[in-house]
Amino acid sequence: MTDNTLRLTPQTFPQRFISWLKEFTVGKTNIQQSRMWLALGVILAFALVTTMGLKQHWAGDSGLADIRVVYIGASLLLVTLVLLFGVGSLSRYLPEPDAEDGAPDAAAQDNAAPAGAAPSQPEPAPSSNQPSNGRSEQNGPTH
Amino acid sequence: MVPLIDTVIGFSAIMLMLSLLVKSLTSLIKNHVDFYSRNLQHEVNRLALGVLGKSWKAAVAQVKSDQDKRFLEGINWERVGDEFLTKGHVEWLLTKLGATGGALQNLEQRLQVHAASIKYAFDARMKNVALAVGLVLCLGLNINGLTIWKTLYGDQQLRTTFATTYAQSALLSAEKTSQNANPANTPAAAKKAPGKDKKPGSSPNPALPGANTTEPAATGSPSPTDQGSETAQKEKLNEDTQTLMSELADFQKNVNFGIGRIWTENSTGKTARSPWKFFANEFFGSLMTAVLISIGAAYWHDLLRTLTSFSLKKRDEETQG
Repeated sequence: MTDNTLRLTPQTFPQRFISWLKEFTVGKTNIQQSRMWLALGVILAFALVTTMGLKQHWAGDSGLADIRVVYIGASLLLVTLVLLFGVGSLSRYLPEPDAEDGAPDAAAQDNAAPAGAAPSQPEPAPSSNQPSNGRSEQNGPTH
Repeated sequence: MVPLIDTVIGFSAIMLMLSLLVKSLTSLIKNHVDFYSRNLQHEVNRLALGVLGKSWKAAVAQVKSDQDKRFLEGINWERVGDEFLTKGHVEWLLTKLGATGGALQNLEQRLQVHAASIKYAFDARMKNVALAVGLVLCLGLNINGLTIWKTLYGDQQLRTTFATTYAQSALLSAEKTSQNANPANTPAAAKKAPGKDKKPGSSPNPALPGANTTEPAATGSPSPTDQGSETAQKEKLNEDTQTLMSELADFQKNVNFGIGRIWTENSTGKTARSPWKFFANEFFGSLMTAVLISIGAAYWHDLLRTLTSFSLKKRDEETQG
């Protein structure tokens, strides 16, 4: 028996952020790709707003108007990060969708003995290194 | 000494009022968004995996009785609360899924662990929601605690007003809010949010032990009682929203000296000379205020009450002296 399908990330907020960044270099986290691209897009958009404001300000055109743009961009970026990593789709408090048709379930069904047949062999011991459903095995089951 | 105490009291009163606003807003969001069902479903799945050696869905697929299968497949997790995780209910369900006596050993202890996991995840997420709400409120309106403190300390009339009338009003609001609050900010309370109500006094599911029928009922259309209850809840939500908006408008009117400088300041003032200093002051001031009202929300009421009684005592002594 293994709970590969139900693993969650036991990481702290900074660890999870680093883990999320690592996905783009080594591709070894358990966060879903679609969520990550969406999150990256939103964060980049707000970072771009902030950078535009900074660029305008450094160009020396006006004072407060650009400062306001930087303020808006930085605020949105901060709120987005808190929402994504603390509450929303990248939060460690939100369980990953359970892989209903994953390897363990299939194995369990395969092992189900037909009526009248001899009892099936016991399940192999859980392998902590066997990847399942594209998720890494560096994380244990917890909230 | 007295000006400093009065400043602290005024500042605490303003922070307390802000904390109450954040609390109300968080409560509204909690009632609109389901932060609970997926965690509950996940924990039940983990429990099934631990007891049966297979996931809930795989176990349900192997149930032989069509009636039981229909019922188990029809469980609507969004309508199930903490009461689902009682030993009697879960034992009955696991037995239907093929669990034997040996596998059901220590079920109560296992359930406690899973229930604790759900509660932890829910509480932690609600704290993060409160932090996000605080950030939105403070950064959006540019509510700057530093400016508020400086203005209160420098303006005697304002300080006196906030240390007396406003502080009393804030304390009354806090006590009223705590009296009207839900019995507990628990996952079970969250499950009673609009659209997720269950009939009071009824079994979570009629097919559970002790009920008269085994008819699958979890995904049926809502009964007239449910619809009436949902309408009442919606009306209450609208009312709460209006109250919140009015409280927010009052707060903006009362504390206008510490709000929105980044939006209202013109470039001909002194800020034109040091825009970065102005930005740092407003951004980090608002950020600090957001953290103070979100994370430190629990302490403002106690601090204000203690300081108010201390100040009253000191004023009495000065009058008698």
